[in-house]
Amino acid sequence: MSRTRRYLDQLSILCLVQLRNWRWTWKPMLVMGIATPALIMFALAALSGDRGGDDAVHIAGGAITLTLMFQNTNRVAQNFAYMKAMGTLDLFRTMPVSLNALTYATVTSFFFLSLPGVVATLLVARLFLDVDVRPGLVAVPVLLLAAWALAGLGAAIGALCRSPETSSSVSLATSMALLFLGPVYIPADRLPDWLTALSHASPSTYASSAVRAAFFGQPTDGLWLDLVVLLVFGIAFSALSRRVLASAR
Amino acid sequence: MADVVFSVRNLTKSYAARGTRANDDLTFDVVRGEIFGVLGDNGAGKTTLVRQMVGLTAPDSGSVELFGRDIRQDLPRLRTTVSFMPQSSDAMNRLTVRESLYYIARLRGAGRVAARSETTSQLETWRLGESASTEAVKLSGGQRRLLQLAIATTGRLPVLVLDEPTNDLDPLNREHVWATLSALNRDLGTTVFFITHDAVEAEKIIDRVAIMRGGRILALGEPHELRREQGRRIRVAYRDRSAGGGLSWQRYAADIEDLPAIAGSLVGDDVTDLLVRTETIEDLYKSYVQNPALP
Repeated sequence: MSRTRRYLDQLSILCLVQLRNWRWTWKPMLVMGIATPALIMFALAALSGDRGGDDAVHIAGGAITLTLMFQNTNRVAQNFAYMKAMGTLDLFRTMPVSLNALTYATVTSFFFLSLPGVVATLLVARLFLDVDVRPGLVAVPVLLLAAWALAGLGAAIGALCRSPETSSSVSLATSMALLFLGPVYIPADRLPDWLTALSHASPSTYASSAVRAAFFGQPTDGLWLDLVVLLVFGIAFSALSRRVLASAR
Repeated sequence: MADVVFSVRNLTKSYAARGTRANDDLTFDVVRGEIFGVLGDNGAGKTTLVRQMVGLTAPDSGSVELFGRDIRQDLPRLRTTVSFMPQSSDAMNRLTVRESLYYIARLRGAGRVAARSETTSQLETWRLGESASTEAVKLSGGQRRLLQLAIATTGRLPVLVLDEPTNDLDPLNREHVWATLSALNRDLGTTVFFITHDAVEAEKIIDRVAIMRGGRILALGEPHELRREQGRRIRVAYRDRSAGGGLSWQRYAADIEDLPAIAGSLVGDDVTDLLVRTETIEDLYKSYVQNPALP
């Protein structure tokens, strides 16, 4: 069997293993992936008073980004920390299993597990914010790359933290910081300049910008740039987590 | 040389946080087809030793060779030759028992049909059939341990390294584990290296034993060799009506040469239930780890 074939086999088997995580992720998805973004959406919509306009699109885009962060950054961080604490990683590291394949399989699986939350949040946004949801084909790479960058961040947090509890706190704090310290829910022109400058270092900025363009047709001058930056974030975070996991001896 | 599976040389590992040497200059070989047990109290450095042998922990100095090559130079060979069972028993989390075994078989290279067939066989071997559809996290402690053993033996790799294989198990399952490991060794020539507290049970299958304390090996050899080193001692136990006014057990160790004199002195109406046996590995273990003269 060729190395590529063997790698792809491993990747698909590990994806199937990681997809079994639906047995525990569906409950947090209802709360953190659907109910929480919906509640924040209602609160911000009530504050802004906007329906179907630019603010509403920002709020809806922020809600999708929040769903992606909860389901990818936080869940993947939790999953990696759990695998470390419970001996799963040790088991895989003593088997002919590529850490690279394990990382990509985890990120891919949690992307699929996050899709129901994304669809539900889109429906809520359509019903209550009157935003025009019209996803084109570009929505597919947008979702993939946004989820990949955010899950890669989660993998890095999970790999770096010493316990599932620490990982849970760190990933939640990171998610909150990335969501509210940048133009995710709030348009960039209403943020102080220093915050806008700082937000260029955050994957959530590019994820939310790409989501607004791909799902709500908001004009953007940099969708492809967003996608390239998300790709770079994904590669960097995944490489970091692999490096940490490989050297954790 | 070809018969040496593991060659451990001057292996040393310290943990800065604890300020101790977990392994201090350990040197020994594990030979193909043998069952090698490591006994030691808590903190003796047993887990650190096996983690270095399977490449999970890097030594400070010294080396571990697998079939004559340093494991760090040939990790792929280590991964396809040696199967490791860690002490933690929650590795498979939300997978069911059947799924766990199937996917492990697949990851060790089996095709779909072979993996299914091996899963069925492993469920039977490790008496997990009734729990096949139960998620690993919902199993009892003993069943989780059996699942870990089933995972370790899936793929029938030629070398097994097991960290406390009988923890959490009841006496019947412990007996079953030793019998199954013994059968693997006998029928497939599997080399088994394990660490345990369970000296009494381990004695049934062990070929060679190392006794550890404070990161060092105090004794290493076949059980009968160690017994000889300790002076071929025997253990005598009997109940004595006259002792202390009631019926109580008396126990002591003696040299085997003194047996006729002991037997003669204990014949009498007050002595019942006389038991005489040679020293077990557990006796040897206690006499080594409790000997203050040893380093």
